[in-house]
Amino acid sequence: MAPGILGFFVLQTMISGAPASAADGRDDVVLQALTNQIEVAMRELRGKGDESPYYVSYRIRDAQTYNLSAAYGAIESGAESDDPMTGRHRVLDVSVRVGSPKLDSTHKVRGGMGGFNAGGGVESLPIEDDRAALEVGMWRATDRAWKSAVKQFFQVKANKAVRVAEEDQADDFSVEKAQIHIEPRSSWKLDRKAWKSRLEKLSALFKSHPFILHSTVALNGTTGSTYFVDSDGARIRQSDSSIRLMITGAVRADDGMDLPMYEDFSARSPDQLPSDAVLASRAQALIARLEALRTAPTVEPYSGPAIIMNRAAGVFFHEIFGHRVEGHRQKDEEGGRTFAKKLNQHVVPDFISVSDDPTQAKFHDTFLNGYYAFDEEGVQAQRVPLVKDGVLVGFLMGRSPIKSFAHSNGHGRAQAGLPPVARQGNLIVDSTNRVPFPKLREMLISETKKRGKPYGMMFENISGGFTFTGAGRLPQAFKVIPLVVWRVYPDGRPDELVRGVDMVGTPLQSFEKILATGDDDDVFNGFCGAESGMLPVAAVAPSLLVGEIEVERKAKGHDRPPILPPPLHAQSAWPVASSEAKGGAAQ
Amino acid sequence: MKTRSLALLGFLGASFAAMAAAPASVGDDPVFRAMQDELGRAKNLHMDGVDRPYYVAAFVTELESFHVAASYGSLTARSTDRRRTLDVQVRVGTPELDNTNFSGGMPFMGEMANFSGGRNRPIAVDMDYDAIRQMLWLALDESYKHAAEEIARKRAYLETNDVKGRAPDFGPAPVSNVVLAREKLSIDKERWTKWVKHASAVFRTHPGVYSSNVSLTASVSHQYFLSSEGAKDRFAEPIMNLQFSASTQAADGMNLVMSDEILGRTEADLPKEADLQKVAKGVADRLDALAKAPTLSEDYTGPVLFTGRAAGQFFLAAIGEPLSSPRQALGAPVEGRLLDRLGKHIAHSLLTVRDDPAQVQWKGQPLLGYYPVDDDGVKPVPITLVDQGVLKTYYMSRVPTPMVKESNGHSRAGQGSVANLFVESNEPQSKEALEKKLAQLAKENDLDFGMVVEDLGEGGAMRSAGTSISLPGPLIAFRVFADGRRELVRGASFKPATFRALKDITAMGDDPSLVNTLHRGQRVSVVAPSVLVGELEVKRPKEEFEKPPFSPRPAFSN
Repeated sequence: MAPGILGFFVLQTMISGAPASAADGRDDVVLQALTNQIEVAMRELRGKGDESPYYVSYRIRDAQTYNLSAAYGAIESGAESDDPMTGRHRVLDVSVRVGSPKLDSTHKVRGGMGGFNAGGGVESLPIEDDRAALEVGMWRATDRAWKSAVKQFFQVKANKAVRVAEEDQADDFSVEKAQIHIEPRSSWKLDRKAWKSRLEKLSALFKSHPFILHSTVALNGTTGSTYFVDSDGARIRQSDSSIRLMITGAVRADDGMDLPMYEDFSARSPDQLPSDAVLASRAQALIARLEALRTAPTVEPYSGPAIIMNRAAGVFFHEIFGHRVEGHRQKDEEGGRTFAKKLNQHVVPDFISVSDDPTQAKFHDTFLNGYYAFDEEGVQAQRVPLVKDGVLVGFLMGRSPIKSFAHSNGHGRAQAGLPPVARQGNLIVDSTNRVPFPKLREMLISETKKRGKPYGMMFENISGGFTFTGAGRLPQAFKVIPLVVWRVYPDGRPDELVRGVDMVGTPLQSFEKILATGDDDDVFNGFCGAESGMLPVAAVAPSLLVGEIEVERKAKGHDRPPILPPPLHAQSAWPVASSEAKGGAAQ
Repeated sequence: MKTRSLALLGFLGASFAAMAAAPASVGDDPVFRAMQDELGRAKNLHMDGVDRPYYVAAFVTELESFHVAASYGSLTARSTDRRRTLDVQVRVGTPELDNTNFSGGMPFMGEMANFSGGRNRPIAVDMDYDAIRQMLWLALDESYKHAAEEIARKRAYLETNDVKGRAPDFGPAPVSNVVLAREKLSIDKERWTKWVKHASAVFRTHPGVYSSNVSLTASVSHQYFLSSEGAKDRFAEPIMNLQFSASTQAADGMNLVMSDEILGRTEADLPKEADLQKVAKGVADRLDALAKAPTLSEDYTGPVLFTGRAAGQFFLAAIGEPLSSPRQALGAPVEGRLLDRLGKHIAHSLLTVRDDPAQVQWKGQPLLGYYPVDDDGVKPVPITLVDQGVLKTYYMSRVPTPMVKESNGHSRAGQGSVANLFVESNEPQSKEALEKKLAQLAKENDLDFGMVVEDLGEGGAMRSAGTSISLPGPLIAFRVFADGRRELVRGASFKPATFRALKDITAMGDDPSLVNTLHRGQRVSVVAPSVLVGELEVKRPKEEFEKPPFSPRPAFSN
């Protein structure tokens, strides 16, 4: 694999939304307010004895969001949001730690109610550069976060006293070098008028397709800066923008099964999104797929060889591997800790290596959604080897140490308003056992024959599913949602599209059964939801040949397709599930 | 386009007959055209073994809004928005027994059962006939299937449960045709941005104010209603909502809030810049005073005089709320509700309470509860709820109760609700007379002081089960000593009161004033004079509070 590392990514293509500013951020009122308030807070709180915090950090997401959506040729939302201030926001997160890095107020209280404690440090700040008004908001949030931390630390100490010692005795907080990094402020403006008309045209393509019941074209963008300052002296300002265009459609099969699909396009700025012609052809392809899926046969429970194609393989690894190597989970005694004791052991075949590299802005020419320079705990992003030649060698680490790793590797991530935990950025799956895709397909067929199966399966498109990493009541299972699946017959019949496929199984087993990979690495850009919120991520992988994948038929809804034909196709031969049902406008 | 021919098709089935009589032309409003054409097709909704719809209605709400908020002179948010939402109602069965007023035997779900899917299904905001029809088609289909399942469940419930005295599910009502001109949102955005910022800057010079906010939300919403009975309504609801709030902690750590609100219909109903700053200053001053005020040292049981905003808020909680949503869900316990006492004395005979949604203003001030036609498509009728202490009727939608069969045009989101509530006394008394009476009652109860409440706080009345009076706040309360000395108290709160309090009304003032506020998410108006209640229970605050802030509030240089 030839990773396309571009070095440090500079947002050169963007139109500057703010006046030219000093490179060191000295004239940045937000930074001034942050720096001053954190000093005031540390000074004032120093005299509080046992209740004094040993660490305080402030994080601000200072951005503008844009949301526009259209359906059937008409704008559904965002139409009148031409006010330049619409979507403008500044969200502050204050983190206050009481105790010491060894044991502090963020320590998990065992046997508690679960859930997380946001600590009360979230505050919506003024969107104008009025330093005193900003500082009042920071002061208020600090006060709340501090009081909450004092209360929490009291519980932590009590909990510690009554419970047996934890298996993982690692500290609660890692001390890291304070970073100073000021990027120029940059942001873009969305040409709403132009995009409105583009979305209208794109969404109108669905009008001539009566079986597509729901469809939308949505554009969601955010552009601005992220600030991080802490009591150790960190001073960080990063530019941080992304935009995503998502085309969704859904059909309902005659048996009531709802079949949604989507296409999405991510970029750092609107001008990097595909042209209208490309978008239209992708929308048409989506439409064709949806229509084919509606009448495709359903699957029977099956277990046998399968190819998980590149982008789908990325999602597969993200869900069943990536979430399980998030560091903080390894010491959560109420969690499953699949890999906690697997360090330096084989977890996948020898020819597979996996890393997570947020420092990569692109893979070849494709934008990577999980790029960032510094994480939400003020730590510089790093490429982290996770699996080397099949052996587990690392975990994704935020500033919550575990037994085997005392330091962060720059993966402490969170969306505004939530405390960071270890999360993925750009997950990259590499292989030394690569064959061209046609060869991989041949291998699938011979594997199918060898096992005496009537067909093999090919997973072309997988939507992010969910992973239970928890212990106890929930099974250690994963569920990804395959959207486009083919049956591949060994006798030379054409591949057959099937619907309603659910992939089931346990994670470790499916890893062991990877036989070979393609040489067709591709990027899946998406958004991942977990306890620290929705974050942009990417996964890069080649196609995988797996010896055995287990599928079952997905549970379907009970509502049959609409009784009347669609209004725009009132004369169409509308399928009616029940022979007694009547339809049509002409009566 | 086959719009016109559809309208001329004529309709099968008696319940759809009225629709054929609706005007053939629905004008050039694409929203109306889409609604009419899709409702016209809905008669064909049919599944094997399931009743056809006997009544279908569609509601479209279109909202255009501007919002600006500021804190300490600095903008915190500003946005302009436009959206359109759809709700539909499909009734299968017969008016006697249909799919509504049922929630699987779970009484607490009852209120939600009458409206299918809420009113928030987003649809095209453009005036796009095709896109709006598509969404109507899906919504009607879904609602019909839902209705079919509901009526089956309800019939099974009625088979297995002995339900006595069940009223019909849907009552008759005259067909309305109220199509008023569309209106545009008229607001000077730049001027109000400046004014709101300036008003919020008032709090800079009050170091005791730890957080503060001033905001304006200006909007025009258009309500469209079309039913298979032929009702066709469209009207605009302009609303201007100015909110002021501030909070602090007292020296003992008690959290305190202070607020004010001004609601109007148009920009002209709102104060000008200088007056805005006065309102903000009032909030800041009252909060500063409250922070220094003493707390009650013990619980209080005695007379309470409600004046100004508090009088209107009291009646909203004590009469408006308990007389709303009269239909009981199947299986709900029937006990202690005010509205079960129809025809009986529920209050002191000096009290008369009316409601008239059609009234646009009172003494030159806008009545926010105004609407020309309700959410069932029924023109409102002025009603007398309480006549000299006797309960005469309550807020009715088209959902009958065993006692009251017909709508009086007070349906809002499917529930009988308050609009413009007028409280009158047949024996108005002066402020001095009320205060004297308060002092006298306090003395008779061996109390050192009587209590006066000026504001119960925003939100007015809380939603209740209708079996007791839940008074919020109070935001501003005084104790008045025998020598006439008034002292602000903080941290007091009302215990829930029984409806006995209405009979305990001892005297009412000659000073009616208007409160425009939001109640159950709806704009309401209350016009009421000061009212003296003979006995209410007021709790003193608990004694443990959070610590004060770790440092003084950062100062502003100006």
